[in-house]
Amino acid sequence: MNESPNQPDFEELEVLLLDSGDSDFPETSRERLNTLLRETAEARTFASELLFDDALLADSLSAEAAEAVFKDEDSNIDTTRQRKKSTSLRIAAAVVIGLIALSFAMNSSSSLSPTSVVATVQSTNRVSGLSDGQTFEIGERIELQQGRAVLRFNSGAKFAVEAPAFLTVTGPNEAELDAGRGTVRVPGMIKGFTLVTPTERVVDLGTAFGIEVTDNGTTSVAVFEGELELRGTDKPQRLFAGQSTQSVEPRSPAQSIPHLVDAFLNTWETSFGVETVTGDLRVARPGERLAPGLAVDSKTLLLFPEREGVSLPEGFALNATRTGLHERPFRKHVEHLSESLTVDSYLLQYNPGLDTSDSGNDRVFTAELRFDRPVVGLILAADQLEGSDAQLAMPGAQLKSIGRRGINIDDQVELSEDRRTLHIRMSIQNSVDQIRVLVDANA
Amino acid sequence: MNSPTPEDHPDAAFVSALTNLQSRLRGYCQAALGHGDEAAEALQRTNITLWKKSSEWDPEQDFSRWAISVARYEVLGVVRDRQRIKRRYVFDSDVAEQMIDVANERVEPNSARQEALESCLAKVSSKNRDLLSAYFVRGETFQEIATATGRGLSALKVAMMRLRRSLRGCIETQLGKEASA
Repeated sequence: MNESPNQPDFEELEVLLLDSGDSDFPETSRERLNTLLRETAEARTFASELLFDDALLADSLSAEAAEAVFKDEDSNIDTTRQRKKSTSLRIAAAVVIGLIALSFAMNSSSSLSPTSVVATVQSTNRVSGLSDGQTFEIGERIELQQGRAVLRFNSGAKFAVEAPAFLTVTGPNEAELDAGRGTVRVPGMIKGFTLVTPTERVVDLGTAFGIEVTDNGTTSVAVFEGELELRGTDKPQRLFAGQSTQSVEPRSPAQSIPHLVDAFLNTWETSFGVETVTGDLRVARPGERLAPGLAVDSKTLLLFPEREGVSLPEGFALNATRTGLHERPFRKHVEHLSESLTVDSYLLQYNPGLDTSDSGNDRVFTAELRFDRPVVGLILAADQLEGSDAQLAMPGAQLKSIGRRGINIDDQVELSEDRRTLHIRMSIQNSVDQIRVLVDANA
Repeated sequence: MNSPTPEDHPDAAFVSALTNLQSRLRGYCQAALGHGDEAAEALQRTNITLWKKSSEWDPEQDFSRWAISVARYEVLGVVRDRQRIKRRYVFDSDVAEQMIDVANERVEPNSARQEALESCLAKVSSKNRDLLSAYFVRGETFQEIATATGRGLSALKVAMMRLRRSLRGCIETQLGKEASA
């Protein structure tokens, strides 16, 4: 086996890729394959070439099978030249067979789901007429008369919208918003999520933004993170975090307006899967979220949504996975995930910005926090918090400036039986308390 | 609002464009997700989405760019649906994202390679062609092929490796000849 991370073992990679087609491909081999691919760009390029070639091979061989279907018994001409000329035709024949089947599928309502779904309701809050997990195909309309809902598009983009709102799902990464207010967040590497309104075309370029469309079509946009482009006119307008605009007429340039944030705070929270927050706790506002190490608030606990859709391997170390009360001393200091999980991470923090440990002025903060998906783990101790920062904290979180992380001897965190609600009681003796909450990203 | 419905029937230009792009779409999904059911699922989702959105395509515009962007989102959708659907997968999510990037760079049309492959396949013995078809077309496992043919499992895998390498070598030689002609 080649030891150098710069020189992938191509033969091993080839064997693993070939074996990976088997349904009983061992997990250890699968992990080794992923490790090799993570290590070098050369390994990924090599694998990509092999897999593209395999697809070509499969198509060519399928074409032969299709040719048998269409074979003209009277034709025995088989010169090399004609074989070459007919290559694309033969492959087309194979594909046409598939497309004929697809055509039948498209006209059969029973076979439309689940493959034609482009968006799913992740969660609802006091909504009638929509339910969690409800799916939408291209062209389907959503009318929200009350409450809030989070719509998750196949691209990964999330649109938290509050009533009254009227929109049509137009693709796996786009929708038309006729009226309503909401927050769009496009996590990770996904770009290009598009919202079309009566007066504007808003295209995400890696961002979080608020959008409001009034009954007369006026569209207000506020960029919270990253950037986006307004493409409602011939001259696209680029907007960055901290900027807001308003578009009144179709094909007229948007006008700058004072930055809007407060109007979107409800859907901002909802977009992160936070259903309710009560007591001495608030969700970090746009701007605060990206650097919890710099956020100071002596009056309340703060919840910072961190990275989303992070794959944690089996055996990942944390401090609690069970429901019930968690406090020091922990029943078991470190627990390990029994299976790999994809999670969204949240950092809950108290940081008054100065050390109050000697003031004798203890204060108890209590709060209740409900998520729209189950909590699968808690990280409560300083060493596990530090150990998980690389995978779960936002880039640039500035957490190194914070000492005394984790919870203290009098702090309590209780996870409800349905795993969605956390009851938090923190006795603020030291300067900082911090815990990390992991929520099942795919529930 | 004019939204396409399942009853809409794409025109001939669309069907032709989709047909011509199938190999690349399949390659793209496979390069991003590896061998297995996920790539097939992503390809099927891509075809259905393109079919339903066919009325939005302007034949004057680049079909492949549009179709590949749809495929990208469908690949991401398959990755995201993993825990809900509990389907077996090959590449971890972070690796799949990296492989999508590589696939984006390699997805340009390559009809010369396809023709070279056709030419090379014509030289493969019927026994070896049967082996390739069993694995790549009918989706049989090595164990199933071994049982059906009476060949040893290890020997079968070695034969497949050699066959693929020999095909790759033949393709490169063929392309080299064409380049120097």
